[in-house]
Formats: sequence, C-alpha cells, structure tokens
Amino acid sequence: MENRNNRMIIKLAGAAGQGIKTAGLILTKALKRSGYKVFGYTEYPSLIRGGHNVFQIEVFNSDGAPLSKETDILLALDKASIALHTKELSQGGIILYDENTVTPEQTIIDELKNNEVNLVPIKLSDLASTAGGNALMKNTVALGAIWELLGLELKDLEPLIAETYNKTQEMIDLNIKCLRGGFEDVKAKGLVFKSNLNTDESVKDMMLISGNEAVALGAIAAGVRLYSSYPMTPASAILSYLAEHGPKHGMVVKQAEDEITAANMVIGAFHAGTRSMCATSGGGFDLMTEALSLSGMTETPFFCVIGQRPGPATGVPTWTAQGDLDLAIKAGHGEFPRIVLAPGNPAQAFQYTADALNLTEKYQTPVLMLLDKHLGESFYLSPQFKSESITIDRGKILTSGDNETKRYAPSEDGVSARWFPGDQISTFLANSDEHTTKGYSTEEGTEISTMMQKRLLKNNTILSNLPDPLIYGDAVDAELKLVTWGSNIEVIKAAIGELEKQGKKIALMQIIYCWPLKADPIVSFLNGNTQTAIIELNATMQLATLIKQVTGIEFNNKLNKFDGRPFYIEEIIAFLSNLVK
Amino acid sequence: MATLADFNSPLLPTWCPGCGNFAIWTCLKQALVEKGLSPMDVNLCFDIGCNGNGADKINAYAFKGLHGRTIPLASGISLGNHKLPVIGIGGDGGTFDEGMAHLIHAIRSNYKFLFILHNNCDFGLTTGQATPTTPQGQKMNSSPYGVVESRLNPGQLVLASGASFYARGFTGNIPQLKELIVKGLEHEGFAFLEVLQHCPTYNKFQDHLYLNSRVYDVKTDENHKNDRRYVYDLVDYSNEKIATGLLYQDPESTSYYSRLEKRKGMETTLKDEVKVYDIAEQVKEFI
Repeated sequence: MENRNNRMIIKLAGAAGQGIKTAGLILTKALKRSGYKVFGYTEYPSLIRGGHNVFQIEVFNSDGAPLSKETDILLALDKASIALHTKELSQGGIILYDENTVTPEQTIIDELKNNEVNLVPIKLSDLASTAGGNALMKNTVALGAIWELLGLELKDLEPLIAETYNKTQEMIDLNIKCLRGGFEDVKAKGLVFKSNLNTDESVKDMMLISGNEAVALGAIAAGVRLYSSYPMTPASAILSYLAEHGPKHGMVVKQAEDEITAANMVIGAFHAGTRSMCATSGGGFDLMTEALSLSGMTETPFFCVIGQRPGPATGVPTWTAQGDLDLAIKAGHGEFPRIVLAPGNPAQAFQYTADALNLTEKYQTPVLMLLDKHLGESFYLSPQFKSESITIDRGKILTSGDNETKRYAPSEDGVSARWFPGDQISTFLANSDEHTTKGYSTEEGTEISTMMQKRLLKNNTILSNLPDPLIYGDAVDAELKLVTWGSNIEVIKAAIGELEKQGKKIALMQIIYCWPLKADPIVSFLNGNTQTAIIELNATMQLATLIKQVTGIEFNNKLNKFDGRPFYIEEIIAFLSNLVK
Repeated sequence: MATLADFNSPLLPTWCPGCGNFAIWTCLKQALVEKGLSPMDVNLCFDIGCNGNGADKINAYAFKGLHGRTIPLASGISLGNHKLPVIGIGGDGGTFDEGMAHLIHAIRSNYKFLFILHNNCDFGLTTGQATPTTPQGQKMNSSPYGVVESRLNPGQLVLASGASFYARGFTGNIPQLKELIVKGLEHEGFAFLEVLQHCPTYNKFQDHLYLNSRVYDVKTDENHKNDRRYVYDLVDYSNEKIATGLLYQDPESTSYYSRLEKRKGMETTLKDEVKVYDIAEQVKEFI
C-alpha cells in the first residue's frame, strides 16, 4: 500500500536504567546532523528502574513526522526486548542483541527465521569491558554497531558522544573506545542494512526538539519572568528545562508545593505587572480550576499548559491522549471567557506559547494550551526558533491617570485598561467577589448583570480576532476533507504524503484555537458533497462533538482510539485509504 | 506624606459592633502612615471571611483572592515586584484549614511579606463554625456536641515549621499592634503576625475581657529570650498568661528572592523585565 523505501525505523529497547533514551537521542541527532530527516519517540513506564524502555527513531523522506508500528532494526539490550518486539520486525529486518546477556528462545528464533528477520548476536558487554568501560556502556557499543550497519562514518557520530558524556575527558575517551569497538565488530561481520533514504543539507541546521522544550523556549523568549509549577508527567520537562536555563535570563523558577499554589502565584505575578505561567497535566489542572475562575473574575491574566495523558484519576502517566479538551473548555465555576488552543508540533508550541501570553494579557482572561505526551516528549525536526519571530503585546496598559480612573471601566470590547500596584495612577481592588468598576464588592442586581456582560463581551472580541484554523492541501478538489487537532497533525501529514504519491487528494484542517471555536472557516472548509472525516485521540470524540455544537456539522467518518498510544502511520493510511479509493 | 484619611474608603465597615477587626483595620492604616507609604505604594491581599469583607473598606491596591489562597497569591505578587510592600491578611479558618500547606511552605520559602492572622477562633462569616484554633470540646455551630479535634496552636506551628518571624498582638493594645505591623513590614522574609481578637457574635469562650486579663508584653519581661525553643514553650496553651509582642525573629533571615543565585546584583524587578529575550544560545544546543 505504501512505499516503505521512504522510511526506516530503528528501535532501541531495554530495561529502564540501561540508557535507552540517552543512546536514542544521540543516534537521532547524529542522523539529523548527517542530513537525514528524523523523528524520535519514547515509550517508558512510570517507574525509575526495571520495566521496559523504548526509543524509536523514524528516518524518512516525507513531510510531517511519521510513527510506525513496523521496525527495521531492533537493538535488544535485554531478553524481554526480543520477545516484546518480535512481531514488529519487517521482512529483512535485523535484531542486534547482547550475546553476553541474552539468549533468544528457540520458538522466537524460528518465528523470526520464517519472517526473514536476521538475528545478529554481538558481544556488547565484552566489547564494553575490552574498551575499559562498564556494563552501562553497552549502549555506546551498540550505537557504534548500528552506525556501521547503516554504512555511516564515525566522524559524524563521535562529536555527539563527546558532547553527551562531557563530564570528564576520561568519560569521553572511554565512550569513544566503546563506540569504535561496536563499529569495528559489525564491520568485521560485514553486515549492512540497505535503505534508499535521501539526505538533505537543510536538515543539518534544523533543531531536534521536543514540544516541552519548545514551550520552555517560547516562555523564555516571550518574557515569562516567573515560572511556577508542580512536577507532573508529561509536563515536568518544561519545569526542568526552565529551572536550568530560565535563570540564565533572570527568570525566577519556583517548584511550588502544589498546583493550587502554582496557579495562584501566576495570577499574583500577573497582578504585580510581570509575565508568568505554569504547566501541569489533567489531574494537576483539576486543582487549578478555582484559580482559573479567579483569573476570569478578577480579569487577571493566567496562562497554563496542560500536557495530556490517558485516563481519569492517575490514569496512565507516561502515555498519551487527547482527552482533556472538554476539561479545558469547561473547567471552573461560574461563567467567564477563556481561550483554549492546541499546537501540533514544536514550532507551533514555541510560537503559540508566545501568542498565548499575548492573548491572556490582551484579553485579561485565562488562556490554556493543550499539549499531550506525544508532542511534549517526542523529538521533532524544526526550523531554528528565532526570538525575532516573537512580538510582545500586553494589551491596554495605562501609564497615567487620576483617582477617577476605574480598573473595570466598561468598554466597547469588554476589555478595560489595566495598570499595576505601585503605579501612581489609582488604587483598585482585584476582587473575587462580584464587584463595581473600582473593584468594590457588590450584590446589586444590575451591577452583577452589567459586570457579567462586560466580561462575556470579551468572548465576542476574542472570536472576531482569533486566526482561522490551518489548512493543508487544496480543499477545492479534495476527495476527502479531514479535520484533526494537536499532535496528530504530523503523522497525518506523513500519511497524506504517502497517499498523494498514489494520486489521492486529501485536504487537512488543523484546529488550533479550540475555544472559542470559529464556526465559519470550518463550515466553509467542510462545505460540499465531499467525504469528511475527523481524527482524534480520545474515546468520546470531543472535538467532533464541539464542532457539531458550534456548526451543526456531523462528520461522515471518524477515527479515534484511547489505548495510550499515538496514532501510527499504518493506522492513518488504512483509515484514509478506505475513504479515498 | 500620606495621612490616615488617605486610606479611607468611601465604604464603611460591616463588622459586628465590638469586632476585633476594627482595631486591626486602624492599626494597619497607622502602620502604613508611619512607614511613609501611600495607598498606591502597597498591595494588600485578603482572604475570604470577615477579614476579607474589609478588602474594600480601606483605600489601597489590593487583591481579594480565594479562601485559603492568600499566601500563594501574595507570594506571586511579592516575587513579581520585590520592591512592593505586600501584606497578606487571613483568618484562622482559611489559614489553618484550606491554606495549611501554603503557610508551611511560605515559611520554608521565606518570601518577603507580612502575613496578619486574624485569630478569633471561629468562622464568623459562615455563622460560627469551629476552626482549628477553637478549643477541643467547645460547642459551636456544626459542632453541637463539642469540637472533637484537638486545638491547633498557631505560634507553635509556625515556630516548629521554621518561621523567621513570629509576633503576637492583641486587638486591645493598639500601639503595640501598630508597632508589630511596622516590624513585620521591615522583616527580611516571611513575617507571621498573629492577632488575638474577639468575635463578639460567635466566640463565647474567649472574649475581650478574657484576653485582656491574660496578655502581657514580652518587652516587660526581662527573662524573655529570642530563642525558638523558649518561645515554643512560652506560647503553650497551658500557660495562664498570654505573651504578646515580637516573640521571635531570626536576625540572619534571608528572603526567598535574595537567595536566588541568578538574581544577585540585578537592580530591576520582574515587573520591569517583560521583553523579548534572545534564545540563540539555547537554540544551539538543539542543533
């Protein structure tokens, strides 16, 4: 159905603690520096030692960022890794395993032989100790072995080894020796894995970056001065990154005692006149919802990133889902305007972090940005981020005024000018009680209605100013019009790229601003007799329901799943192929 | 220079006659005037409850937040502009029930702001339920057979948590309370000021006269020691006399902000620093 010459998949597998992720990142980045298009995906359980870790590297020619079920080269650092991935190996695929510690079962050997998969034993442990290293350095030996298998030159990999293990020169030397040991061993065996992948000079200068890191860079660039959060997978990496790099720019990074604190600190910091934000996952966001409502009521900016993971309660902490769209749109008591947006790749995550900060300050109401584990923790190619692409718009800020200046003065767009404590303008009370234009508490009926209308007026202002959804491809002569959101976008682009080669025409819409949801662009995109479809990673089709609520349109076809795994390109291609015959 | 009148709001207090809040309200204004601060130079943070009903009865920049969340809100404000004097105000209910974790962590963090605890040993605004500082066995609304839980001691809690400043005032001693507010504003860290006050409507067990007959100022006690363990015992409920004044202050106290390595030597506040930052150095690490 698709031409697999366009893609090669390398999977590193082993027990937690065996350095799978470190090795995976080195390999992915080295391939990128050699000019190959790459995508890195991790699977790991919610524990620190033991359990099964996977780093999957997709090397490809297409657009987007594919994720495959199939594997061409498997590195198995432990016995479980062979059994767990046997069925994923492609015909002609290769399994490299540590001969010193792993003895494959005969049944598996037979099964692999039937599928024409080559089992290649390598003495990874022996090679590591010959080089003077310890058992943990097996992963570096394996990297050398894979590099030679791909027919690449060591000079392109060695600098990355040196950058990664840079604590001491001794560590660098040891790892380089291990690397060469693995490389020479495979060379002596004469093994080669053939692929027809192209290299592209422009890829060498691209970034290899995760969605979480992109959010963190967006936060730094767009002037966040206080970042306050409580660790929660899959958003913790934003906190870790900023804790290290934020202070280099003078940012204050606070690991708060809980999400309630994080959210209230963010609101306090915005009230004081600076920029602030936090990030969490669904469960932590639940704790923030009263603060969300406080932001709405006091018209104090608030920005939170929600990294989604599957399930209610603790759910499945280290896997992915898009089940918190309804939560983001509906959370918080009372009625108040808000903006919910969802980037689909790191370049968008970077840009929309900055945009979200502008929006929360311009409209003085909460902004929530949905990521998921797949976007947050996978490694994507991205053009280099530039601070020059960031503009700061803090909305209506007064620098002078007198006693009669009212913080919550009515206006045509619902947005009142603001200023900050300490400014010699006019005192005001940011009040969680319903309040007058000065902020004083009120229980008077007309004042209650007036202030509610004033705040909700911002919804209209927001709606008429939000950008339209993104459209990929030509909707006019498309055989299928497809809608999706969030991290699905990259694998879908890759799938459409494959189908286009067969002459199929599919137009794709990415909803970025999920709330308020602009109806007109969706209606005009879906207009006509063409087949329509929607793809999302949740059980209840939350975006489809929302689109129906706002536009009345129901999709002809839907693809969803909720098993904690992101969509694989094989699943998308199968779904789309059925619709565009 | 600001005067007391500058802090007057057009709204009059709605507290019950005889409420201790009147004294705290007055002392707060007096202390701000004494410090040379005008209504536009400070930010007050109020909790929900009878203390919070005073939020619009004083003219100053203020934020009335959510129940029990005054401390994280005030922390964010004081970090956002570390040159801005910030005062958090909360009751015994919000502070020790919903806000307990915030209090202990603010003590650990030692954010630079003054927190004034209105301790009247009951929930006033919700009509007289027990709080953690209501005595065990006391009959209250929603505790008709007597409070089952043991009584929490604010001074012992904050001292054991490592508070760098603990003072206790009494709404019957205006000059002392004003002075304690001034001292709290000057403290280099988290200043916890407990104010013993009467709730004339719901607190029938510890009225003004009860408190007045037991309090004394530690200034008058030659034996008083600025020692955490000494003060811990001094404020035990078993003591008949109630010590008030600046009971403990760590002279070496350093605030959260001043401890931040990468902020050392920076003159500006976070408020002044919202601009585009160059991330070119960070971007290189991803190539």
